[in-house]
Amino acid sequence: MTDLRLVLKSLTARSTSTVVTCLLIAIAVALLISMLSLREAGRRSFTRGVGNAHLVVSGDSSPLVAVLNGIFYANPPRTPLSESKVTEIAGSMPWSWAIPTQLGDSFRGFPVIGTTPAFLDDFEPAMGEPWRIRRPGRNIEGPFDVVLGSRVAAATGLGVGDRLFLTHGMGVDAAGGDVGIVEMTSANAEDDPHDHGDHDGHDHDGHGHDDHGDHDGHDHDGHDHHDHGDHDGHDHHDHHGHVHADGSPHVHEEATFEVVGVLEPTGTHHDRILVASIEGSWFLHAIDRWEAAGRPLPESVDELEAEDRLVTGMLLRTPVRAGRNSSAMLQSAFDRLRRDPSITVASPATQIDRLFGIVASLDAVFVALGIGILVSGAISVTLVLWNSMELRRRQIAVLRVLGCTRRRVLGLVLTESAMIGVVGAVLGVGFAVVGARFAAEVLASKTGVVILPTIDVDSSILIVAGTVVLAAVAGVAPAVRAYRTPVAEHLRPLD
Amino acid sequence: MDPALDIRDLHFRRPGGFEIDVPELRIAAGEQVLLTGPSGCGKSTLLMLAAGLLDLGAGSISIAGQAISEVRGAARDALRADRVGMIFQTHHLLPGMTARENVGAALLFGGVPKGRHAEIADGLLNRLQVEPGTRIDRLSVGQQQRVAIARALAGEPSIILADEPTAALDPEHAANAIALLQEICRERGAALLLTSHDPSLESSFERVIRFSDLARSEEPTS
Repeated sequence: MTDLRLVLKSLTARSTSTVVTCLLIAIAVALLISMLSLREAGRRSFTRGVGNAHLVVSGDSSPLVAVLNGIFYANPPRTPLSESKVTEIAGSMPWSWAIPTQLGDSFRGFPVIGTTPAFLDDFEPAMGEPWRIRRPGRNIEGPFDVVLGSRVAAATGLGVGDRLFLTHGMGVDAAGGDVGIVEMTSANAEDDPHDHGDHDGHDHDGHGHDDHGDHDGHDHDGHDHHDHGDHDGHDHHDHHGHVHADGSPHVHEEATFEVVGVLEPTGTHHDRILVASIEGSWFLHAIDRWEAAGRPLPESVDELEAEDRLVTGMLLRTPVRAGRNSSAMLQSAFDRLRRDPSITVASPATQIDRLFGIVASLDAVFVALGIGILVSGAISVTLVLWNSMELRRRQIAVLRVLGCTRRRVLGLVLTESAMIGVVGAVLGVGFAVVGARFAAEVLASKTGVVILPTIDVDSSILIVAGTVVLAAVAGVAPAVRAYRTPVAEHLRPLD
Repeated sequence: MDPALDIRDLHFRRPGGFEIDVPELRIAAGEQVLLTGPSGCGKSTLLMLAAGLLDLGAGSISIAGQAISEVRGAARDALRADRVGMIFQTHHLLPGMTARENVGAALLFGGVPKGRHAEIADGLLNRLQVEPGTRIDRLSVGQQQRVAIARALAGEPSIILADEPTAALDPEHAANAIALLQEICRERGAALLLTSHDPSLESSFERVIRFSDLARSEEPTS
């Protein structure tokens, strides 16, 4: 027989209210820990996702938008930069590297970045962790090469040697249909009018992933990339003019891209992109522009004009000493670029800080919510114990008769309430671990924001300790009531 | 040897106005006393006072030579844990626990080392023929009362204060319980002060005191 046994017995004697109160506290603790952990993990994830880029340049209206669009692929920037501007910027400073990026196409909802091979060679999706291309596979070389991010490959089942069409515009997934994947018969059947009628819906129903096995044969057909551009381009002329006019996303069957590589996972949102050659990207855009102008379509990338050779942004890195990420040149480079009114230049690190400054107020709401639930949990502890005192006065009186001091009675009740706090808090940590993992998974699959569901140990300990203290405080009023229990009055016979 | 209980010039006034005066009551070590009187005359209050559960207005109460009326708070609780065992009409056992745990609870607050609790509890319960591991709610009323007796004796008190301990039992069980209580008190060397309104118990006690002879109690006059 111990004091602890007395406390446990008292808790289990009221198992329902004990369980409910513990759960209430557990939910509050889980909410708080998840919020704090996700906030930190989210911030880390965003900071990590910036990779080793020092600056982003685009025609966007604000630096934050430039970063969200240029690095996080939120939306294709509206105002493009000319190739000459790109060349000018690239030559303006002794950059470590300067990589043009062209956004605006997609493949089954995944963003396509049209760029140069330097994107995979020099840009690191996470600082100090360069891209790795799975074997067999290689970087983009020709204008219709494409390399898949790991999540794209996993989601589509596509691999090296597979061919695909890109969609002009973003956010098309056609309910999981095989949008844009080359199906042998339709890709070559330019004389089949029914096939083209489907494009508004982007729905090549019935072409399951099983079909992809056929592509190996397709590879040996002797078509090179220009062949696809040639015959498809001509025959789809009218059709695409029409579709583009209404501004809706549409599949470009004029150009077949070939998967030449698949990237290893990086644990960042960059796993959701397709890396295509910038020329191929220009080619798709040129088709729309030339079509709208009523001109015959280009047959190869060599025909493209300066108006076609536009990019939506640039990633820049200033030279740094080995092993460091800051550079004395960065500030002067930033200041110089900022003087050019035709472009927006942004430091991703600064903008991420700004973004989280904005989001912080929202965080505060959730944290306040968690604290609110925690406080209501504590109040419920008070109520439950207070009411139980009514029933336990006789028991307390008996303990007093046996020689238990008032102070010890106080301690027993406080221990009891603190224990509800301990159980609730521990449960809450468990919920948070499971919940954060779940939330991270959902976030990763919906937005590509990869956060590592790590529970922040320091803040968790703080929250658990705070919860136990709060629960103990919640027991003060009932404990004082127990302390004051007049013994003699509560030992009268039950009659 | 100090008397088990020594009350002198006791005056107590309850907030409601009920008053008790006990000029003198002395119970020798190991002595067994029956205190009789009608319900509500103040017998229970006198036991509560003797156990230090109520504060005196005036006078003194000593248990085995130690003035329980002179100490307060934790010291008084400790004195009660070590020197006084109480038994009530209803057993007032801790629900949901075993007989052994209930007896052990009495030792929780006294000076007996923890390692000996189970041994003491089991010894008493076996003597009283109650299975120590049985939960209280599975025992008969008579067995529960025996657990209460064991609990009162666990701390080797100088005196057992028993307040109508057999009121919940039928006459035959009541007689057996009283006999057992007297026997075990003798074995353990504890004095016994037992209150009852049942005159049939008088033959079992060597000393019987009528409350009205011992004390003057008054209902509020207004």
